[in-house]
Amino acid sequence: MNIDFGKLLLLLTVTTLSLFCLSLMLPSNFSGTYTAAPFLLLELLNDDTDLAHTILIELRIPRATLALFVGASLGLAGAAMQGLLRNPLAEPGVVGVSGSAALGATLAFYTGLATIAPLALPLGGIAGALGAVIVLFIIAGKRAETTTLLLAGIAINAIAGALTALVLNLSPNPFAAMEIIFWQMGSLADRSLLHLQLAGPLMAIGWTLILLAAPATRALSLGEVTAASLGTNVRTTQRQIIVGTALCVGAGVAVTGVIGFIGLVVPHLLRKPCANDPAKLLLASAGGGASLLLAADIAVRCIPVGAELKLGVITALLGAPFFLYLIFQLRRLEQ
Amino acid sequence: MAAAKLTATAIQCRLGTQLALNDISFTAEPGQLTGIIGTNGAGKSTLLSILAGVQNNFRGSVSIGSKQLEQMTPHERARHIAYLPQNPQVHWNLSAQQVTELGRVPYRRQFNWLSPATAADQQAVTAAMAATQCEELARRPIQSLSNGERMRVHLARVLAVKAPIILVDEPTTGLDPYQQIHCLEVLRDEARQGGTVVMVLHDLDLAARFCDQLLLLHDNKVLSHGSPAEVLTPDNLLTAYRIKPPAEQAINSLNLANWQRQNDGTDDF
Repeated sequence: MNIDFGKLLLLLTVTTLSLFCLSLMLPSNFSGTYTAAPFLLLELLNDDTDLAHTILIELRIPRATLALFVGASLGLAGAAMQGLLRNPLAEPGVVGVSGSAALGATLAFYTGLATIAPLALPLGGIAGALGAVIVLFIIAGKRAETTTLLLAGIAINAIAGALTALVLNLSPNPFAAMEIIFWQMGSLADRSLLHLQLAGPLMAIGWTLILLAAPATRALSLGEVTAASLGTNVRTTQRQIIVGTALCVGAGVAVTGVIGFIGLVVPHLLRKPCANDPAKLLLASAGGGASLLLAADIAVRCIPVGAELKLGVITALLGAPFFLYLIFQLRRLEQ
Repeated sequence: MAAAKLTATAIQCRLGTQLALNDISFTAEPGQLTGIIGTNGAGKSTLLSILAGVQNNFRGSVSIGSKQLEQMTPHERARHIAYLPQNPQVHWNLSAQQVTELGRVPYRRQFNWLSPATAADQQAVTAAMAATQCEELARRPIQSLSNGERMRVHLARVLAVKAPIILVDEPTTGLDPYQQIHCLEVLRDEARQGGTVVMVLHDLDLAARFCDQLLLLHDNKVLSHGSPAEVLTPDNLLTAYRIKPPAEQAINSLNLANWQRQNDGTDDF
């Protein structure tokens, strides 16, 4: 499959923008309590301009933009992690940022801060992600080997998972626990412009850091020693990618909850069209991740089930079987 | 690129509690193929990685011409020294052409990683692939190549840097005799064209035949430095390797040293 990279990027951009526009048009729920007709917004734009503008600016644009940003962050960070660790099984959460962001947000729930100040939830998540990075660098030390980073990440994930379970265990009532569990499944429902304003800039800094490391991921294909001999500063690259991932994925998890599999599956899907080039894969995966999350969010809103379907559930339901299919494909190629 | 000699002065290196290199000084001249030989654990690879600037944990100094390695920026150093470590790896299934193109990384600016290769890049890659006979492999994924073919691609990547200094660690390991001889011919050609080529190798026959200078390491020190005839003496070999040549046989008349590579590749091999 040899697609010209420019055409691939164009295709991904067009897909993402189309899904973005479709997402703007769709109401948050077709089958819930407040059933709305599809494309109601188009009608409202003719009749009641004020209401239409409010819906558009307060609800639809933040939701669609967050889907785009979070999806792009997950795809980009997934590809960057795979490039840094030179492992196709790496995903953004591998160094512990997702788990720790979830822990931070869970603590905001548990302490009741989330009820008093709505922004405490995302802020808790971001603090959790940054905390994970600080712990990671303290454990891994100055001369961090890739294996050390991976092991430290596994340890941080385990600790964050255990502490989250502890918080759930100690939660004062089952409703509080349910609230935390549902939040962790990931959703874009009812996110406001404020969430976007909070997470957006952090994500942008994260993307910049990761994209600065793009040429280094290419050199890293030959291993750390050869990359260093080619003039790459491997330590700086490690920092750029890990801090960049913590910022963009941490901010994403903080506002949406945990959304799995996009960071793992999207780079896999696009690696061949990108001719295995880890640097080109970064951009392509950002586009692919944005498209996939927008599509998943549209699916969540269109599938008629009683309760609101959570985004993390959809991405895992679609992502995991697809991942198995990829493994079978790989096995067939090897035989 | 202009010729440059590589000088190591009083190199001392500790790996953990172990002394890996002790007071190593030598100069590799342009136009010469210098071989570093010695037993396993003698410090050959460590020395080469220090010369390449990828191992910074040492005392002493390395200089290119009159400039010290530590005064160079990583990019400047990368344009002066092309380095092939032991057992080179490619982690993604890149094509032979893509791997060779990675040799041009030191010439790429930070922000133009998406732009196509320049004419100079293309020319360097084409010349490197031609010198190592990799043209036919260009589009093949690296994982589908044999060990010998892969090593040729790695050599092409090293040549594509167009650096005045080439450092190669055991390039002939795992290769059949035809490929071994070819690999060393490529490196010797680079030296003949004015390159400073330093290579770690185990095969003394090949060392005797191809190298202009040899550096024999023993007990983390230089045991002998000079032409193959000066270095590969029965006394030195007995001290360093604990081996003796048969009484009636001169060191340079071992089998492989007299073999020739067949150009059509179909003969006796």
